[in-house]
Amino acid sequence: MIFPWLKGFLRAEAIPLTWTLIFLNFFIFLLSYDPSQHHSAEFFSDQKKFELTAKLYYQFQGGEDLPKKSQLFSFGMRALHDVKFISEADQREFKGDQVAIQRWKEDLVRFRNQLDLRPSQVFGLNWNRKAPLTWITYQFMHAGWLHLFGNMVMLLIFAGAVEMQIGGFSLILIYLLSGLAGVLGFTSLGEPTLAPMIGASGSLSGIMAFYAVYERKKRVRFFYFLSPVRGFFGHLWLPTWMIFPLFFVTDIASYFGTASELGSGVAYTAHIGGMIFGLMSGLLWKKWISPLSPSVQQ
Amino acid sequence: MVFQDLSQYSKDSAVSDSTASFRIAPVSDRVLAFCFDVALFSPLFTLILSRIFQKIELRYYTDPGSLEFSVLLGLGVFGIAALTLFTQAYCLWRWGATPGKYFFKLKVLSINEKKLTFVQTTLRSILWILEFCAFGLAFFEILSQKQRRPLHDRAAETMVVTLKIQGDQGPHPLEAHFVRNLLLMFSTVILLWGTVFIGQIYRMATQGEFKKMELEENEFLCSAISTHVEKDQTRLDLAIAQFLAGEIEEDCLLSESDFSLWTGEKNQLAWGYFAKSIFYQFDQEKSNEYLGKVCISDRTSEACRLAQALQTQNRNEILKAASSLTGQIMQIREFTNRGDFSSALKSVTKLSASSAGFEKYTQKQTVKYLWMLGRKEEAAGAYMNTWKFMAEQDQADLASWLCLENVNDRCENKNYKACNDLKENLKETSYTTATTESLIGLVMEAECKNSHDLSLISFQKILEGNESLKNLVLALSSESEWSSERRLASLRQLSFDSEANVSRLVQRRAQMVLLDKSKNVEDSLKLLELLRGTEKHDWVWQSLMQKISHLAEKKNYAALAIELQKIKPQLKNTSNRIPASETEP
Repeated sequence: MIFPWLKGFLRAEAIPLTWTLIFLNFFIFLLSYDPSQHHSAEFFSDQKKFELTAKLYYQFQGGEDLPKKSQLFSFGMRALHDVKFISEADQREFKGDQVAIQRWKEDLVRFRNQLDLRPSQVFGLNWNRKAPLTWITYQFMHAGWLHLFGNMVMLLIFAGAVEMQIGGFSLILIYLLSGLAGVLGFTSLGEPTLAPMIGASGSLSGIMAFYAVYERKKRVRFFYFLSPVRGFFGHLWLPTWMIFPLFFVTDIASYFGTASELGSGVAYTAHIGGMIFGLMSGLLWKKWISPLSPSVQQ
Repeated sequence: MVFQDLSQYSKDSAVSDSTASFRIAPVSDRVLAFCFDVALFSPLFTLILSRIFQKIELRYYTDPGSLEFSVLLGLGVFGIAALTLFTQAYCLWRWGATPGKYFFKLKVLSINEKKLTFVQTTLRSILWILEFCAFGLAFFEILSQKQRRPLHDRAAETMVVTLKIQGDQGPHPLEAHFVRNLLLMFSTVILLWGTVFIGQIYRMATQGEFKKMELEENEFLCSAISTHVEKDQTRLDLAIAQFLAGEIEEDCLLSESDFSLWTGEKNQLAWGYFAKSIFYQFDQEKSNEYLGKVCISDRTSEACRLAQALQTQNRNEILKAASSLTGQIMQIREFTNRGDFSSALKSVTKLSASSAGFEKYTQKQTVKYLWMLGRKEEAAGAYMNTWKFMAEQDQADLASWLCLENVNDRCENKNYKACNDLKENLKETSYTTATTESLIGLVMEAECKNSHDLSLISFQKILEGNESLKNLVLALSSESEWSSERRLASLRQLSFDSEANVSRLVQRRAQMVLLDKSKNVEDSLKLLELLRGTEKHDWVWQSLMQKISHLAEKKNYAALAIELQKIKPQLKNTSNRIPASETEP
């Protein structure tokens, strides 16, 4: 494990807006967190229903008869990612066991209704409902405690460092605009999927890229940990640009290396969108805006 | 001729050209540098090979056994190895360090040269990759080698040094000795494991196991059906008939019906839905839902005729001449339910002669129908002829049935072949495979012979959790110390309890024993009332009626005789022996 430590965890007096962002994320997470939401996934976790879904999707894609048994997993996974299929399958006619198909359709409608009530569907970025308000709200939603914790730790480190450099309001601007760039990346590069996109990762990527470009000539502290045995953990001084190969190349490689049918549960495209915006804004800020406000830099 | 000994590292020669004072690199820094390189280069390599990785991932989930997957995997591994080789060799040649080594202040030096040559770094990288492929065991040499130089360093005449102030002192001799032995042990274990593994693969390859695995994985159809299907037969009709005859398992029927429903022609759909209704026969709602679909698919098919008969409870329709195997089996079952064992036997004989795949069923049913028709010696002959050719489970089933019938026919101190066969069969599994029927048969036989060879403890497994069976056995067996009143009370409770609480087999048996033991007109009248409401007039039903009839004659119970007169026409085709158990599997 290796991550940049930069200036460490700064206190609220030093970086008030960063802490405000963190509290906002935390507060909204508490309001929207629904541990029961995983139960509705039973519709897909049942082996027989999953296989039936795969068979139906095979027909939906123009296939006749049955897919090979070894193809069932692939078709099942693709079905779950295909918004069109999930939205229209109950209206279609399928060949096969009509009794089982009728029951499946009833389950699908029930599942969809459950889905519509979830906060993540209402406030997250959704392929079905492209509501402009969700372009902002999704940036403050998280799927679980681990998701929230990971993002907030990195936000504290990077946003804190950026806030020290460019000021709190500029940080908020970068955060929101990177999030919007994440939306752009998600909708233009990503495949339509049933799962809504939520999380501050797009914004965080933008802030990280901004910092890496803004402070590109610096060497910063990275913390590494392999084992608690002495000599296997500690600090390392690396150039700021190392953030790109260590973090962003992973996103790009995962985007290109993952089969779109299978998905991964991580919105790499949003990370990429945020990163591109952060990179460009960092360069522009350094060249055009920073010279105008030397006091903030200090 | 004397060659210079190059294997010995001279610290002075390695560092003499440098102004800095180099020291042996610590193991921890080398491990961390390796991890850093992995973190840095693995996304880069993934990006370069992303197209291959994408396909590997997809094939892994869709067709992992395919040649394409193997080729892609090989290409992926080769790609990573090639990229690693090139990157490592180039970085070491150009800068004397990979990025990980650079940031952890490590440097690779040549022992004899000022600067590393490209040949040296390439050789070092090739060996490094080979060591990695061999489970990385050779890397552990770093813990035992005096100068922390594993194989790739020694072979390429290189050494990793640190630029930090504090270097490594090398391992303690004891530590080195311990690690060497540990490595030797691990290598031996891996070698042995590899030999066994290759042996297994060889065995599988030579015995055609791989082909079998492939067929099982990709086959939608049931192989138990495939071996019997003939040209003019509908495959699914055969599957349903075999299922009803107890020749195949329900999973087999399910996969066949699913295949027909998803791929079949119109006439096959009807059979598909009919098969599903049979599969869900214990879920009334689902079964009816499927029956309702049969005629929508094909109104002219035999499946539709049978489905309508089942839906409307029109049993006479089932008795009409059947063109399908399913129809024939249902016809046999219907004859049995009506007590027309003569027609049932004829149909079984016809089925046996005309169709393959019903051997177990026809053999067992022939013995049973002969017995029911009173042709006892023929039944015994048929039993003797077929028993030895049956599978163990079928042997036990038939022997259980015949043992119970024998004991019921004549309760005397006699050795019955079926009971002896059954005991032999069960002894092999220490009585763990005993069924309700076999247990009742053996307990009754022991009572007739007044023998105590077989203890009820042997049947603990089947008795556990089966309260009604336990009560029946305790009411029958002299091993229990129950009073005769308690036995009768228990038998009454089992006889007149709802069928939801007591299994049909246990209840019918309890009713028979109750009639034998109580000889009471109230019990007989109550039982007669129950039997009048029963639709099935099968072997057991007829046996009970026969018993009541005997009782009425023997004891001169007028009330019972009057009641019996009302249903007399229904008593036909029965022998004068008292039958014992269910006829259908």
